[in-house]
Amino acid sequence: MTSPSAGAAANRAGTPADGGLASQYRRFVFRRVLCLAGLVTAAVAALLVDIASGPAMLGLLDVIRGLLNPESLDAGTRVIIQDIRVPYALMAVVVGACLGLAGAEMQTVLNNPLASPFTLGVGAAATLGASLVIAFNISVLGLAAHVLLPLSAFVFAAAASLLILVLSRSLGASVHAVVLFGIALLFGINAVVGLIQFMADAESVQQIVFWTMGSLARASMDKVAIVALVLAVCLPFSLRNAWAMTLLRSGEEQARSLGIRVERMRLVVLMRVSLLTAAAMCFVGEIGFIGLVAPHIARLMLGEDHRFLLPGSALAGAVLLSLSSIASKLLVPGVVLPVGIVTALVGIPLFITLIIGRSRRAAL
Amino acid sequence: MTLKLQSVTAGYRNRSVFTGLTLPEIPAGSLVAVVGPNAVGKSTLLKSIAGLLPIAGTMTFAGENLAAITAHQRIRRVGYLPQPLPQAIPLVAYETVFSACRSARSDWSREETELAIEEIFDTLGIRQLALRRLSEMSGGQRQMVGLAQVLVRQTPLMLLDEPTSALDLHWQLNVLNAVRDATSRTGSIALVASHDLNLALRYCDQVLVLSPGGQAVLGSPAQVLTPELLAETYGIEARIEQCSRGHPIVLADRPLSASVN
Repeated sequence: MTSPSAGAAANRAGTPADGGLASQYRRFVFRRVLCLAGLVTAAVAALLVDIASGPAMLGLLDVIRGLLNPESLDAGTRVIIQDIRVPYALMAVVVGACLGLAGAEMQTVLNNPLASPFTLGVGAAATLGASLVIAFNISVLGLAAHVLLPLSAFVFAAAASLLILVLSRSLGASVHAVVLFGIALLFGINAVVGLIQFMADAESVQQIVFWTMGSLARASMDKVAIVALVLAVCLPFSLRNAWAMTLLRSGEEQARSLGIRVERMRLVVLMRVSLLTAAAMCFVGEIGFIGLVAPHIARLMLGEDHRFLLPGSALAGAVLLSLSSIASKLLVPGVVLPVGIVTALVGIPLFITLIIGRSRRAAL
Repeated sequence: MTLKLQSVTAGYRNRSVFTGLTLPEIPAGSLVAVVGPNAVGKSTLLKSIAGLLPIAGTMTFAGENLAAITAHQRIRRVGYLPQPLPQAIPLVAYETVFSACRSARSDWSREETELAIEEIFDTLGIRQLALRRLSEMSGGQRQMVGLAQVLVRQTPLMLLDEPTSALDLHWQLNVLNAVRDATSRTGSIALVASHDLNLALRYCDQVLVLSPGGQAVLGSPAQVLTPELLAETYGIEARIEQCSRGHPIVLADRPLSASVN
């Protein structure tokens, strides 16, 4: 257990201390920092365009002026920007970031690039919670429906995660056991949601369907603050595990021999993922594929070093959902489509591309 | 700094792979080949010493009971190379090794870590791979990176499970030279599970032969690797000959139980 300094210095006589592999790696890391900065810039630009776009089109300069100095705009434009566009656009950013982060963590701990919050049925469970409130007009402790609905979605998502955690622990938390159980849960919950729709009246069915489409139209600054708070609490814990997750990705047995308690980390991360997913979905409904695609984009740009991958995936998620939000307002002039439809339309071809790419690589 | 195993039993869930294994003391600076047929317990033995499997019995290293030390103490003392290669992911070799240092050698400063990484890449001759992604490497190159992850930590006990399985002859010799150099220079002990008896004969101070019946024989290669033991352990007819340079080599002629065409 010697210090490496003496031997290495002797072996590398004449080599400057800051030269060699370390300095090459530092330059490599600097390029990644630039990539992250690029993603931040893209997220800010998408946010501004998202605020500017909509049935009443605004100029980008008007938007920036309105954000910096609201008094400079007429009352109508001010209301559109402050009360509608800003919460809507910010919700896209924070929900996208939550789903991107949750997807990256899930893919790492399950060692499965096709995993996402939806694979484990966490999203479907949130839909079940919302559907129950909508269809049966359930009232608990005198809470209003608009409070009870997100609460119920959250409780069911957390319950699904807890069920996965308990069962995966009893099954030894193997990667395949968790994913297979998640798929079974997803189908089971979808069947129950179908049953609820069958039993519900026409108005409730319409509401449930709208919820499952995922829409940012329900955004408000209070709700944005809640989702942002969950993200702000989870992200530092995620980053604290960055080295351990990087090691886990390079090899589970090696990670174990380096003292990483893999089962425990897997369970903690799944709990964090369920919190992020439930927080993201309880206000906007089901938004698929962001949690699946964002980590892949981040991985392509930044590699598997989780110090960069985790924030990169959150940023990629934010950019993707912002762009989807913009598309949802521009695809059909005068109509704002539910953003979940757009993410699904874009996400499904990407998902299939990923599967085909994976199959081809496996065949090589 | 010696390694001693007494009445060690290890296995998986309800299945013991070996029972009551006792070995003579392995002295500091030893390079020990662990050989034997498939499924005899070579990997199980290394995993159990690495603390990845529960054991019954006593394993003592440098006077400490390995089962009683904390995980933190263990990763400073024991380096383990698993049989599976590092995954083919977009992680560059440098950060693969760097992440292992960050987890296991938090006592090193950043400069010390960088020097250690520089040294191990040079020792193994893989400097040109440092900034290449694992996903762009061959199996053999990834195995070299996995080895660098273990050797860089400079642990006094190294457990290497088939470290040359994906390597060509050049790299096999390179790796065993590096391990041999580390044990003789620092007095560390290396246990190397392998199917290559000739590499064991050439590089190792001692050979541990595990047999399907549960017996274990530890001794110098010349003492242990005899035609009789190979017949008993592997079920083969084999000879130990001298090559033109005087090194003993194992020549396997035929399996004893199978019919010969």
